[in-house]
Amino acid sequence: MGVTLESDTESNMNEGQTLAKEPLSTLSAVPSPTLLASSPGLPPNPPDSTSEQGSKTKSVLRDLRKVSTQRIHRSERIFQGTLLVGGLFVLALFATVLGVSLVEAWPSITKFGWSFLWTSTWNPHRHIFGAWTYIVGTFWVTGIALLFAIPIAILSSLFLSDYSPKWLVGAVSTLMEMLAGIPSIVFGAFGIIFMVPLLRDQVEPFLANTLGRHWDFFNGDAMGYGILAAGLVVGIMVIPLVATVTRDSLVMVPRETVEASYALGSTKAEMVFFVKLPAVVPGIIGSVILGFGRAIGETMAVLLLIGNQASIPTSIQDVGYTISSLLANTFTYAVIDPLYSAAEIELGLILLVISLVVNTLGRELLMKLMGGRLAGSVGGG
Amino acid sequence: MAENVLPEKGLSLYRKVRNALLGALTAVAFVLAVTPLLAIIYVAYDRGKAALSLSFLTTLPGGFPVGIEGGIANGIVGSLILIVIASLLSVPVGVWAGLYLWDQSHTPLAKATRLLSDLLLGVPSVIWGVVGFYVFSTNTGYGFHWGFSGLAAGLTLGFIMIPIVTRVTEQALRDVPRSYIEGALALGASRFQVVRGLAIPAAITGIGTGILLGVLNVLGQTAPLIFTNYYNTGIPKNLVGSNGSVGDLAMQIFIYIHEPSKGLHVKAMAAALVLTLIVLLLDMGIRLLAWGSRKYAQRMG
Amino acid sequence: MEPESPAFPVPKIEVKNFSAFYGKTQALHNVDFTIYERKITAMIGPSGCGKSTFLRSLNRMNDFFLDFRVEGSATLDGEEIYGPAVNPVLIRQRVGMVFQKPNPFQKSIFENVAYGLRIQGVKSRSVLSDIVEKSLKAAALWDEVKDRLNGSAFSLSGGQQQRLCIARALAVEPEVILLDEPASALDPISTARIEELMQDLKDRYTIAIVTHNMQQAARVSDRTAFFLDGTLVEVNDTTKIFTNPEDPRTEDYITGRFG
Repeated sequence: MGVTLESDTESNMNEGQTLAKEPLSTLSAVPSPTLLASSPGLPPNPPDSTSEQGSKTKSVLRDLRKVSTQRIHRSERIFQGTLLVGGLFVLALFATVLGVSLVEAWPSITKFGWSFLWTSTWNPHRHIFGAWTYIVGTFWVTGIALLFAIPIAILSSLFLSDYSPKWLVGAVSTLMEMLAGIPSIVFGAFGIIFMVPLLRDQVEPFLANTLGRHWDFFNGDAMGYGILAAGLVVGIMVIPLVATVTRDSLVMVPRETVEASYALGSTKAEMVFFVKLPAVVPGIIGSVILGFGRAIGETMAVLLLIGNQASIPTSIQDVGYTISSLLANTFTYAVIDPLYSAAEIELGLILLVISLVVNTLGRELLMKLMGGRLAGSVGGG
Repeated sequence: MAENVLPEKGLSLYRKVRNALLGALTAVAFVLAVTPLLAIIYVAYDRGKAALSLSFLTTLPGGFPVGIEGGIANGIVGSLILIVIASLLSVPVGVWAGLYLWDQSHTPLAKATRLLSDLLLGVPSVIWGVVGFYVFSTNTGYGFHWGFSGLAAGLTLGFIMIPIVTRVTEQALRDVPRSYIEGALALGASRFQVVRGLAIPAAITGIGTGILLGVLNVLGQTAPLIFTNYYNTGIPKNLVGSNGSVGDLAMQIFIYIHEPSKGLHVKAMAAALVLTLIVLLLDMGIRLLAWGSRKYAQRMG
Repeated sequence: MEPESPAFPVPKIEVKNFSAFYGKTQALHNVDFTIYERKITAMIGPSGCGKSTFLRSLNRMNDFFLDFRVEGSATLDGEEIYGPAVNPVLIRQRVGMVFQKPNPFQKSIFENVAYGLRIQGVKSRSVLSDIVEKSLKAAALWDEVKDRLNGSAFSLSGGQQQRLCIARALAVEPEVILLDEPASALDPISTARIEELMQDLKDRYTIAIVTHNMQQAARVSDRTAFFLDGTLVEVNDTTKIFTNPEDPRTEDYITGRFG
């Protein structure tokens, strides 16, 4: 439970007990036994430099004790109050985030009401704003990212926990965690330099010629930019997070469970996939939720790759717009017009609420599973 | 019971094949997971190497479009300025709040603070940008009216760091053995004396780790800068007002890669490599620190 | 074990109708109990019987559990330990404590012993070194560490660390020393040294010890209290408890374990 330093000691009292009227500090010092019976070589003590050195030491301490009684009592109060201010800073910061978002979004909230959510028109000139296009775009990118990332992340965490040679595990796990820290702008630049040409010249024509013959969903103009590029790059960013958290829950599967499975004649794969994997489903859900939280707020990589067009995608090759990329791209123009900026901030508020809910869910779930410790994983945009 | 319910001894071919395939599948997935991450570093090096040199780190951008010549000195200096400002805000506040959460950990107010601090960890970076804009940058309404400036951006990044430092500080203090604290209390130490003289010294590596973790998290932040600072091709003389913007590595990459210029793309990739290496080195430092503090904790029993 | 029937035993800590709670769980039920000055009082009983809770209640170390509360009276020299104006910090300066596991600070041997004095504002180096020396001598550790006072406390063996913790407690001149299973983490030889040390200290201090080892209680203590399920079953002279207990439960416990 950590160190619980409860402050209000008086509150521990109960009516039932006899209450002393005098504080202990005022007790006349009962000549208490002391080990300082004789102490040679003491510094001269101001008032009564008598012959008895021992009692001098004792009185030094007694005097100090009387003084410090007062001091400790007061400083304790001040100390508690001072610490509280530190906590209040954090509360104030949260209030600022929520307050600024709410206040600045208010004109849009009052003007459009709930219909803001499902209106797909976004016309700054005619002052009609609706979130639907951007909500859909955001979920497309997040969805593609997770569809790509989850299987790879879970399977590779199984590889790390059960299949890889021991010497590889430590190094590779560390490497993965470190690569998870690469800033998203670097992922975005990589996407433009490498992913976009790859998708444009290879993957998208291939998709159109195979699956696209049967489903329009896979057809398109093969531009490279679009929800697929954004989704895949965000997916790459999310893999280390999901894999790391999943692995952390995999190593917590009790050894007995594993041995019980082997003792019944399981092959290794049967143990891993039919015993171990089901045992960590809550952990996997938690890691996926955290991955979702990371993906949905992702800004820079998406901004560079999605194409930034306010249309609802109908094909995987389409371009689109997400809430975060819209804000990063146009907010500095929007601030000139109060309603325009309010509408953008209301979009931001939607994103904020989703992120807060999702992150809270993921954290609560994983905290329960892992006893309170969780690697700090923050979205870097 | 029917006779011969059990299959014959030994593994059926199906089970053998399945065992091998599933194992192979995990290996393939692992390769798929790691390759793109390594590819990012390789691509940055491969496409950026033409621009890499020592002078790339020490010269300011020049030429037209701006940046086609010169290097990223403005970005390196600017990023440093931002990190220093962010730390000046977040380290005292975060450590302070972490102490509060540890000391009064079970009071309802502390529980609420912990929850909200955790929620702040999940705030998307664009939202931080919007908040920073209204609190520091905008020239109308409430706020500080500092314009697009290094101070505005640095403090916004400081906001992002606060909950990270808070949580890691609290955790580091919790890792100080309870017996250690009780030993001091039983000698009649006040809690202030315990905190200053024992708890903080014992948790100092953990707290340092938290600070570096916070720095790591804001180092590559780009979105908040779009709202509060934007970019500067030079090194600013002041950090507030209309000429107060600073350069920044991440913004530099963003601006260069956005331009339809092959030359700037080369510079962007070189800068991306530099930023990535800084981040990885910092990460390595954090791991060493954490490793060190674990050793330390073991020694304390 | 010297059953010196005390002519005038002076009560040091008197506990009357004392109950303790962690939230809704009652850990101690109406304990009546006196600890006499300059005697060693041992508390025995199975794990979870409340003996440690009781001991920690005597210097308010349980205050740090948020939902801990007490009812009834516990007095130190006639003053309420849980009185409204009482500063628990001061109680702990008068009632020292040594814990189950040695818990030296990450400081030098010298600074460990000096810590309690430093926090009370003693700055003079000569006063400090004087008291440190005396305390280490009183804890029978001086000869072993006098040449390396600036060495780390963690360089000491477990038994030495525990004696260091005792020296640390002695340095602040407590009147009572509470020992919470002080030898449970130590080897037999270190345990014997701690027990010897207790005999030396009892001339000058009031000592209360919680132990799960009944032989230890029998060896070192003057009086023994037997706790069971949060109640004080029996308290009496140690010889009486171990030879002729009044309560059948005490007898069961004593004979059942070490028959």
